[in-house]
Amino acid sequence: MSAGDPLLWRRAAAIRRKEWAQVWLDPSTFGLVVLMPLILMFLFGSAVTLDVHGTRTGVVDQDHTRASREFIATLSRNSYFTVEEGPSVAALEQGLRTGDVRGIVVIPDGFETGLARLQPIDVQLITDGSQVNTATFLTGHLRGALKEWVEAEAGELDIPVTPVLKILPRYTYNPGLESRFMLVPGAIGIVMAMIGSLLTALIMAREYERGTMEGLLATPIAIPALVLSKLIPYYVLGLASTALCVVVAVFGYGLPFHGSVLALFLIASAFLAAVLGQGLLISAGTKNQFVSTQFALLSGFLPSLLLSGFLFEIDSMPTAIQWLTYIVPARYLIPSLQSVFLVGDVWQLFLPNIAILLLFGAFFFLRVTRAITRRIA
Amino acid sequence: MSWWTRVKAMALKELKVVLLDRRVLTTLVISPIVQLILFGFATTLEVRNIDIGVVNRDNGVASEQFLSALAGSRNVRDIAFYPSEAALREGIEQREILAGLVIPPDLSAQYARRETAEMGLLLDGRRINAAQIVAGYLADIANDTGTMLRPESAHPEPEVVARHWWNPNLEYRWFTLPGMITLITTVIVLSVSVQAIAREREFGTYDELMALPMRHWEILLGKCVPAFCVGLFNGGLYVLIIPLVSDVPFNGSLLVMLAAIASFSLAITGIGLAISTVSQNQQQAFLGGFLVIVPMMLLSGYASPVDGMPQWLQLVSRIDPLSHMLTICHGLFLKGLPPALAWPHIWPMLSVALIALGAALGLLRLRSD
Repeated sequence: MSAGDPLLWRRAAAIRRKEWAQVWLDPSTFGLVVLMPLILMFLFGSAVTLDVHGTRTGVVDQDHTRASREFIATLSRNSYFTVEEGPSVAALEQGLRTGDVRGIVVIPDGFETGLARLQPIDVQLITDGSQVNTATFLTGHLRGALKEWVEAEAGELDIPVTPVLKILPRYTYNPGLESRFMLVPGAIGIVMAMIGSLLTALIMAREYERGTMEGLLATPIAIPALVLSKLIPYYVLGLASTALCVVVAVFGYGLPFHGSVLALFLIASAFLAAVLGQGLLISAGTKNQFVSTQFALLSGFLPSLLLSGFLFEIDSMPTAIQWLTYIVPARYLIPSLQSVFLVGDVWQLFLPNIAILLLFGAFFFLRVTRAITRRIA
Repeated sequence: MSWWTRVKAMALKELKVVLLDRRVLTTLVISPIVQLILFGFATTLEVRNIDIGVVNRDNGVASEQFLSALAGSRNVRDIAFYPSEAALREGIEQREILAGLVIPPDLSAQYARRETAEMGLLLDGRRINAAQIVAGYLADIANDTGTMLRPESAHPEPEVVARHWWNPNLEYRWFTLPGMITLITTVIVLSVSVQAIAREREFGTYDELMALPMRHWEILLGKCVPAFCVGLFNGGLYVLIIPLVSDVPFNGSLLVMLAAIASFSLAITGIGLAISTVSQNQQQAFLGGFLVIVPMMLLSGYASPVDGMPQWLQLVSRIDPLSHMLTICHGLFLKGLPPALAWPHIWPMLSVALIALGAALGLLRLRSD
């Protein structure tokens, strides 16, 4: 049977049709391809933020002066805090322990007089150290709020405040400091990783588990053609899902799209080739749907979420784990995806990443073909 | 035959289905441990090993002092010099550097004139979180260098003195590792429980199951056992492992922890079984479970604080068993949460368990009619 044999194409098309029928007849596929992306886009667009807003903060005023009242009023107006006043630290302590407040600010006795006489005064902050991120932001935001307030007060009191050196930060590509500009493209990567590895992790395992694999292998079709026929419907689904996400990102969440559709198509295709291959290999290797899904979660979904640089900076991880990120396909997706939205077509960045992803795809494809062939032999 | 004998027989059979497959068993034990170690240590919000680009047009004392302080910072890995601002932009665009500093030619002159000497900092907005943290680091360094250059400029002003209770050095691991107990237990318990009834449907043994001389609730109870046991085992295992592999302390009561793990496992088992009763096959069950798991995780407060969410999502988070389990894990490991304060988080989980199991029972009855 040669590659040009018209029968071969008809057989491959038949398997593709069978796979499509299986996809359409199962409502869970619809759930994963349409519902899941919408839910994820919504959560990453509206619920998850990396900055901390409205943190419930207890305040204890030990000074009871005009200055302390004004400072507390300033904090209440600040969107970073939701102020809850209490008579003493002891009264607020239980709230800190149960997580009802995340920090307690103590304005000491002598706050106003100290300010007027240029004496150093310590405003105490007790944070809930178990919430590391919140504690860090709370400390930073309180410092910022206090500094700003003191500078405004100093202007009124004629106290000279001129810093010697100053940094003027400017955020390119995201001047409004929107954390969703970073999270939403990342969420699209997660959606692709999920469709790629989770959905395909089930398809071969299911054939093995139900005993229909032998029938499939008995089909007079070359193994690579068989594997491709199985993959193509899922590739199309993955692309459709990506398109849906992009529409939601741009029209629902106002993300800019500075790159070209062609670039996005190439990046998405290369990534899908890698994760679809990965899912199929897991599927053919484990031959059990339960084990397969666990593997897909462990090696596909979670690394895409945690080791791709989407939420956590790769450079900051321990060295051993940094090395590990090189075998996570999502690592080569996230920078390109973020750039195609926020920057434009940065081909010097896209091309090497696309090439690596295609290599992953080719490697997995070969391994799948071999895993299946070995089985018949 | 009493109901107890029947449920026991059913539970034993279910346990065998899960435990006799060696691959399944290995997955159930190995996968959570790998996750715990890998992801517990990988996630950090500190920004280290920063690469910074510099365009220096000033050759006076101010830039010299600032750059040497910058090079000495433990969070900075590399300082690369660029010929122009355009080159700096390109470096950021291609992700060679996270931030680019532009030092103007009159920086030292400004400093000599006792004006505020200003430097521009260009940051990669694609990585907005890390960028903001880096801007904070550099502002601190500028402040310190300024004080060093002109000590009399430091006049006393109110300062924030922060103390971080229960985690004085703000080790991020102390947050992630106890939190991982919640996440991993959820994944494993849900994965096992969603299959319980869907598998019978896929293999066509569902009718036999229904034909057994057992009441619906007895079948359901038997089906609960494997997932519940897996949850209890894994949850318990982490409580022992975490203090062994890391410096995270365990300050609470072990008994309360076990009670919490049991209630939590039961709640997740209930949710899994409810999904399982409406699934036709394993794929549906698994994807359905996933559809429920991901929102519960993201709303729990692990990925991002609940306080910052829209009001109605904060309410949803209150009925999310993961958010209560997370509070208990952090409370017992770090804060020494007394039982009386843990109870307000245990009963919501038990309520979810009751409602979910009730729903599963109702659906099972409905479907068998």
